[in-house]
Amino acid sequence: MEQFPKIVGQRLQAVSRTETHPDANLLTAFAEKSLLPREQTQILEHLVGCSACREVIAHAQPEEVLEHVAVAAAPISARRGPWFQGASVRWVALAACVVIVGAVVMSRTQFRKSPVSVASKAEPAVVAKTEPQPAPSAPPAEESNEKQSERDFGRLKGATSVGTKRDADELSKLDKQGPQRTANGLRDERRQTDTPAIDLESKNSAPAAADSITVSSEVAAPAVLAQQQEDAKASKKEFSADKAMKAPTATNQVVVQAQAEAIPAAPAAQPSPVLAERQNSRSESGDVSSFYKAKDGYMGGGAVGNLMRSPAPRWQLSPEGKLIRSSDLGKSWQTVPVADKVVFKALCVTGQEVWVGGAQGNLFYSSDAGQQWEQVKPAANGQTLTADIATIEFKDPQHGKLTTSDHHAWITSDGGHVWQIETR
Amino acid sequence: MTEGPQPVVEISEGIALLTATLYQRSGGAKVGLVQERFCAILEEVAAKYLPEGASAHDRQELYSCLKVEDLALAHACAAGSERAWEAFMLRFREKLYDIAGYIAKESSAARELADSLYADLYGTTSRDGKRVCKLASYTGRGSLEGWLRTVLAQEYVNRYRKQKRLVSLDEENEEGEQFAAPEKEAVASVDPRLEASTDEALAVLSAEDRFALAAYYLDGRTLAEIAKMLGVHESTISRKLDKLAKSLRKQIVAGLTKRGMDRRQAQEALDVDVRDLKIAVRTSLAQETRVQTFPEKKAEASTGDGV
Repeated sequence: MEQFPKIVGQRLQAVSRTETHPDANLLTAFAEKSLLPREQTQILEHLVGCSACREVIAHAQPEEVLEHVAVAAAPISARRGPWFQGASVRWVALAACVVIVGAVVMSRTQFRKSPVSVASKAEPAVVAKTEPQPAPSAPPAEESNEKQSERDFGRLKGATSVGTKRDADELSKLDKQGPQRTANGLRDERRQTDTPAIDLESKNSAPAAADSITVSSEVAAPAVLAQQQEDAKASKKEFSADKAMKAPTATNQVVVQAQAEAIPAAPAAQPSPVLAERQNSRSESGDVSSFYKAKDGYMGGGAVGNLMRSPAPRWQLSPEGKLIRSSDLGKSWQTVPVADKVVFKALCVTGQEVWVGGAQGNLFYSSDAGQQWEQVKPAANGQTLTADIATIEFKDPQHGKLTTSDHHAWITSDGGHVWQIETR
Repeated sequence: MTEGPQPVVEISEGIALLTATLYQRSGGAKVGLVQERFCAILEEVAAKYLPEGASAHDRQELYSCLKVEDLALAHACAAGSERAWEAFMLRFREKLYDIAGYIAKESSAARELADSLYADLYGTTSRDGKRVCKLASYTGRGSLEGWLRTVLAQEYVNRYRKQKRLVSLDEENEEGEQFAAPEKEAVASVDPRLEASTDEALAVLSAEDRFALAAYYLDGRTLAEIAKMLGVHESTISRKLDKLAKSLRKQIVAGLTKRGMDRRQAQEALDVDVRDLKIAVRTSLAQETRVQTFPEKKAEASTGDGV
């Protein structure tokens, strides 16, 4: 820390206030960040010159805020749990490499045997969408001639290498474009970059292969950013629909036949999502953490990243009894959709875990900072909680207590699965 | 686009509607608080926090941020409602001791602190023949739990300071400070130009920046504590303080050069001052506020720094 000129300390002390101190109500509101903006400045001005009030504020900080800040401050590896520790990350990366290499080898072998069928195995999901087309009478792609296959393989290999180069290009593009990219953007780029492969296949008069090559890269689209899965699915559907319109019926037949062989060839299709995820992870922030975030939606699809990048979210209940959240230190608040008609009266936040309860025993729980909610219905001794929930307290994720308007306390020691009633 | 003034009737109707809604939400009826009394409490709160002639919008804004449920409970308790006290005890009895323990860091001190607050909350003292209940002063600006925490903290700080002033000679002897020479106040010899430049540099800082400076350099608070108070991340405070110290230094030097010193003289004036008085404020303040009476607290504060 930069050495601090003593004179500054003296001058700061020199402005000590002689005016009356703010009362406990205002200090509480300051500690809870619920002051009106004009009051906030006034109180801060007073606090600058009043060491006694500063000390009160320091003591009056709620404990859970400290916990929250501590969570945000903890190393990311500590928050991921043992599965995401450094050694595990290395092993997973190694496993991913093995899968990719294995898939490439397998796909080469398959291409040697039957390029068309292998190519069509890449996306059985698309096949289902093309099935409504009338079945052809003569599948043109049954070219089992060895020389032809070799020639095809050579072409397809060319296409694969084009794809590899394309992947590399995409990676560099992604790196340049940063995290603003959307799934649609990726889809559009893929359409453009896929053009050489389609051309290749059209020369080869094997449209099914063209589809499958195109689709095999399209398979990656659903894996783009866990939180953008819906967009990606939409893009896939749209793309499939396009193909259904354009693809020759003969091609469809070939693909239908190839569908039966799709299961053994599944590993061949795997590299694409993995690659896409890796691309995403690189495109998002260039680190391994975002790879995991994209891969399995860890912590609510990027909550960790958000926690690292932005201040810890604040939670409150609005005067109307809605759950509201602020991610900009209380400057703006957004309503969190939990349950439309429930008036919430009690809130408890411990790290990522949020409990909110209200009228008629409505109790909701989120383990991922409000991304997903589940309703909890406490019951004990054949009695279900129906009274208004007045308070919720969780000292840790397992041990919690609710108090109700009819003066009962409901206690859980297993994170809300089993409840006991404590009557006073 | 400008809007004309709203009719008075409409405004008062809006306020009345809001008040009625808030009363319903407060659950005042359940704890024996009638709506008229609740409205009167809201009026008192508005009178306390709003300037005279405040607009209806200001009033609505204030009312909307009140913790009305807690407000109704506290005032029902102050009015002596049995049901309210039951609810209060159910919610806060254990919590009050927990909070006191968190503040005092020592069980007997914590219990004493919590017990004294209970006495105040019940209203064991009387003024002009009327029972004085501390809960009546709660205005719902923050949560009732937060208010209890703040009141406990105030009581703790008051006692602590009083205790510091009344430290016995024996205790001083035990600490080996009976012959310690009093620290000299090295304020008199400061160049007035330096003071003026410093004041000028400080004046342009925001209140939050000055608060962070005072908390860190005067109170010796840890980065984590300051971050908690301001609701930001610890690293933000670290960066902020570093930046502030650098920019203050630069601006003070600039101010001194503007007041007739050359750059070297200005640097020397600042450096001499630093060398003479280097962080004595911090040490002296630390001695003043962090004596060994509460060693656990000090230990925690140093570990909580995180740097």
